[in-house]
Parts: sequence; structure tokens; C-alpha cells
Amino acid sequence: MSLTTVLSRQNATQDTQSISSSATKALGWAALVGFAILVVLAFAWVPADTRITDQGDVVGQFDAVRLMFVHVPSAILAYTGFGITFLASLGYLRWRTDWWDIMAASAAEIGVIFGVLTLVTGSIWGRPTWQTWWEWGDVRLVTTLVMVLVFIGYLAVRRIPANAAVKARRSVVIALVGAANIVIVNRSVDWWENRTLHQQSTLLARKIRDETLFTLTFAFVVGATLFGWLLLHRFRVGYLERQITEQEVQKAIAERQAESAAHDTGSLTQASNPTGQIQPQSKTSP
Amino acid sequence: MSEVATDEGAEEISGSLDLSPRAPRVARSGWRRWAPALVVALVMVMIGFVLWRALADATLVFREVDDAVERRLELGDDRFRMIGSPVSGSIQEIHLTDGRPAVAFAVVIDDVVADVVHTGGVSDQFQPEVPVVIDGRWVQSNEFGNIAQDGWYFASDRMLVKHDNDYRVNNTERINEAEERGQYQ
Repeated sequence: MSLTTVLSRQNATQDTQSISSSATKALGWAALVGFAILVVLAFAWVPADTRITDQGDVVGQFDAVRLMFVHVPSAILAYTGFGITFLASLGYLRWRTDWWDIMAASAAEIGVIFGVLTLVTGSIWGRPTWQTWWEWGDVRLVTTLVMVLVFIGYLAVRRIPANAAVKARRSVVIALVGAANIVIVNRSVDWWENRTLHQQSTLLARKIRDETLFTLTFAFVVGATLFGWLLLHRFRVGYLERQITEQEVQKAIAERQAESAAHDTGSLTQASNPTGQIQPQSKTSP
Repeated sequence: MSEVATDEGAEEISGSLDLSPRAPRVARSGWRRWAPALVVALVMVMIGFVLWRALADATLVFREVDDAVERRLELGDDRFRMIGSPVSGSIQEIHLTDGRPAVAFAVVIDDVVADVVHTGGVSDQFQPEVPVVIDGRWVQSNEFGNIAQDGWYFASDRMLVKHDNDYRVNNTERINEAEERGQYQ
């Protein structure tokens, strides 16, 4: 069943004012249960990061490594959100329909949530591992912050009062510029290796033990489920907002037309009945 | 003639339809109308601030030990950041001549070694073979350096740890033994 169909059905039962369906409820529960399982896996199953060097020194991140299961999926999902915004903005440029515009805005909101979560968990992880909450000269940290700020700006621009089409066009420009930064953020650890404390990709280098890899993959699945749940709901809210705005406009037009018609009828009546006596009215179209 | 007709027509229309602009039914308050624009302005200021701070610190590129040693004379008293892996067995607690506690160790990259005397806080993750970024300057003295034996040491007061991307397990038996010895919890 397509989302459009879901929304049509939703629209038909708007009196309930619900934005959920049995499918999204199942998705929400799956995310919740998955998160509970993830907590157990991350804290009870995955061992702390510990290695012993050839000289016999015990090294590693120890328990701090467990933050990986929130931080890494959050970062990937932030990229995903902003990536969807980029693609939906291109879609809007091509097809100029509300669907693409609402999708772009919804994904940007979810992307910002995960982007902020990435910055917060990264900072918490950085304190015990790097010995610092934040480094201004660090390219990975700064470009990530700029990426999130650009999309916060994107959302703010959408709230500036304007015609819907004008808003959408402004948003598209910011989304396209902001999306370029996604590549810079992602590649910064390789391009400027000596300007960041952030490690290079573990997954691409395949330097990860089995239990950690399994749990990280599971965390991605849980995160993606949560992302999907949030996106569907936010999209539906956005769609209903458009419907309400459209209905208000139609209502206002109808009221003006009714007023005009009433005025016309009154003038006609007065013209044909200067004595002011009540005459039967002719039927007028709205 | 036509002008008269137009005026008459306009009069007729204006007489039958109220064309004056109407105030919106639910007018936005001033604050709600301007808040998004203020947020946009704030975001732009924040982005500007972030870029300014980032560019101000951009000179703090991490010089690798071999590069820092090679450019030692050129660097002079300049403050910079150096990255290298602490040499296993080189880490020792010392006291400076003024009695302040410090940590002396050697860092290495590509077989080029430099002595370090660090007076700032030490990270919990400060471990042999895990790269550290130390912030300081070169000092020519034989007072503390004893590994490199080149008459120089790097006096640092800030230490950051650059952890690698390796999360593989190795030496499982030795980890278990270390755990039994209480070497880590």
C-alpha cells in the first residue's frame, strides 16, 4: 500500500485526528522493543574494548566504546535524513508537487534530531577518550556542527511567512547547499587526517570484533526503524497541515463569494423593487 | 468617452463588491511573524562564529613527530601540536625543578623519537601505542630527555588522545590473564 493511499485513507477519517496506522504502530513498537534489546546487547553481551600490546600493555577504550552503538547510527541517520532532503528537493524541482516538499521538510527535521544526537553523544564520548568535550580546530566536529546548523536554518527559513511555492524554492536552495557539506563531513577524517581527533572509519577498514559488529548492525536496524517511524508520522503531520491550510483558503474564498453573491442579490432586489417590498429571489450561483 | 464609461464601470463594480483588503482572520502576532527570521539570522551568526573559531584554530594542525623533529629549528619557540605514539616503557612520573609533578615519556612515528615532558592533565586513555596529540613547544635541554638523547624535549601542557579505529580483539588469553591480575576491571 503506497503512502499516498495511506494518506487518502487518513484524510477520509480525519475526524479521528490520528496520524498513526496499524503499520506505524507496529513500527513504533518494533523500535521500542529493538531499543530494549540493544541496551541488553550493548551492556551485557559486548565486551569492553580491551587489547594487549606485544609489550604487554593493556590498551583500549574500555566501557566508553559502548557509546558507539548510539553515536555511529545517529550520524548515519543524520546523513540519511539530510540526504533524503536533498533528493526530495531535487524531486520538487522536477515535479513541483507538495509531496516532495513535505518529504524534504520532514526528513530535514528528523535529520536535525539525529544530528544533534550525534554531536551530543560524540561530545560525551570525546571527554573520556580524547580528554576534551569539544575542539574548535577539529574539522570533523566543526563541519558536523555547520551541517546541523545549516539544516536548522533550512527549517527556520521554511517558517518565514511566504507563499508555499516561494518557501519551497528557498528551501530547495538551502537543501542543495547543505547537502554538499554531507560529503565534506563524511570524508573529512580522510582528507584532513592531521586536523581531527576523530578516528577513520572502522567499518570500511573492517577493524571490529564479531560481537561489536553484530550489535552495531543491530543498532543500525533499530535506528532505521525509529527513523522510518518518525519520518512517516512527520510526513503525515505535514500533509495534514497542508490540507488544513488549503481548506482554510477554500473556506475564505467561499465566504467571499457568498458575501459577493449576497451583495449582488441585494442590489438586484433593490433595483427591481425600489419600493422595498419583499420579492421572491432568483437562484444565484455561488 | 471611454474614460467616462470606465469610471461608470468601476463605480458599478465597487458598488457591488467590496474590494478593500481584509485583515486575516487569525493575524499572526509580531513575535510569531518575526521569530523564524530571527532564528535564521541567529543561525547565520552561529555558522559565522563556528567558521571563525575553526579558522582561528586551523593553524593547530597536528605535526607528526618526524616532521616536528625535522623542522625543530624552524619552529623555534612556536607553540604547536605534535602527534605521536607513546613508547611502551618510557612513561615515568617526574618532578620539575620547581617541584611541580610531570609525566615524561617518548613518542615515536616512523622510528623518529622525541622526548616529552608533560605538565598538564593526563587522559585516562593515555596508553602506550595509542597516539596522543600534545600541545606545547620545543625546549633545548638535557635535563629530562633520556630516550631520544638529542638534547631536546617537547614541553607540553595539554594532552589529547587520538584513538585509532581498531576494535578487534587480540591476545584473548593475555586479556584474561590481565583481568585476573586486576590490571583492569
